[in-house]
Amino acid sequence: MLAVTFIVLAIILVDIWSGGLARSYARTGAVFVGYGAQLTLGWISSARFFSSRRVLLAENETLRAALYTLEERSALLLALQEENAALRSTLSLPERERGITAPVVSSFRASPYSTFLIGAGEDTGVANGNFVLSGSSFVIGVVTDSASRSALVTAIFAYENTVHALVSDVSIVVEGRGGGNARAEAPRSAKISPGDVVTAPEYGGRPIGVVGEVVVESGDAAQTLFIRLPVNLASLRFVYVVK
Amino acid sequence: MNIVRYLLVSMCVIGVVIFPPWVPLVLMGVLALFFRSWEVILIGLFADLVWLSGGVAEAWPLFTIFGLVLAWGLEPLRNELFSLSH
Repeated sequence: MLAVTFIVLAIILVDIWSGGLARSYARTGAVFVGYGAQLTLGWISSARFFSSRRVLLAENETLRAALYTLEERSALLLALQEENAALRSTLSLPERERGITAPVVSSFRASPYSTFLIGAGEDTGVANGNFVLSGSSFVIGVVTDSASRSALVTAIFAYENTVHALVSDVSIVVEGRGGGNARAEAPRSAKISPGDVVTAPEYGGRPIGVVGEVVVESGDAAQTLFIRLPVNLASLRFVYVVK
Repeated sequence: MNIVRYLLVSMCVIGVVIFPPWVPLVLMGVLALFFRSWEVILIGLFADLVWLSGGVAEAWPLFTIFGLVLAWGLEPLRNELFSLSH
């Protein structure tokens, strides 16, 4: 056991010294393990003795996905309206940035650090700092560690990750809580209601979430906003990486 | 018993990749409790290398630390269990 402890320390030192060699190998292995496990689980779930349970689960998943899609579209509509108003006021049209579509190759719920793997890396031009968008242009994360054929994305609402954002023209600091949830404080006088879209200037003014709940405590100068991504992260198969 | 140990190690590795974090943590705990398992340290390192952004130099490698604590910290309890079972 002592030998293994020293080996682990050596791997850590090699990883630091090489700039991520061990990480790259580990993530490649994780992708293979993930594919293998998904194939096996798919085979088990398609077996007849799980059929009734499987049908119910599939129906549940479909309904949940439909719900998230509707919520996402609704939030997107609000975001587009706000964007349209901003565009009208500035009379300028931003160019759509170039990017690529990348597959999500890991489970969102598996990472203890609010990260996930995508199947595109430096070979296809993905670099650290690139934004990762859901299908409807919500920023869901940022590439923080890119290898040749894969990249690690840190969720925008990772635990204790802070983002400077705007909601109803009020500047707020959003603090991630993990799992696609975040919270922020805004002045009590600000008119913010559930469903308002939160945008982040540092991500090109793109939407990063919607206000789920507003809590105002009596005697408190600020109101607490509970923010969430209107995207079912678990069902995402592809994301868009803005280069 | 070796089969159980290999099975737990395999489940831990798969769990790191596809299951929520508490699953491999529990399995690592079981593994470390019933076996003098050096594998838990490597599994912890594997989890951190896969999921920790920027590697272990950027943040606390919690899984590696947990693996080390399990492997070394449970040694007295494990010895006690082994002495009782024999």
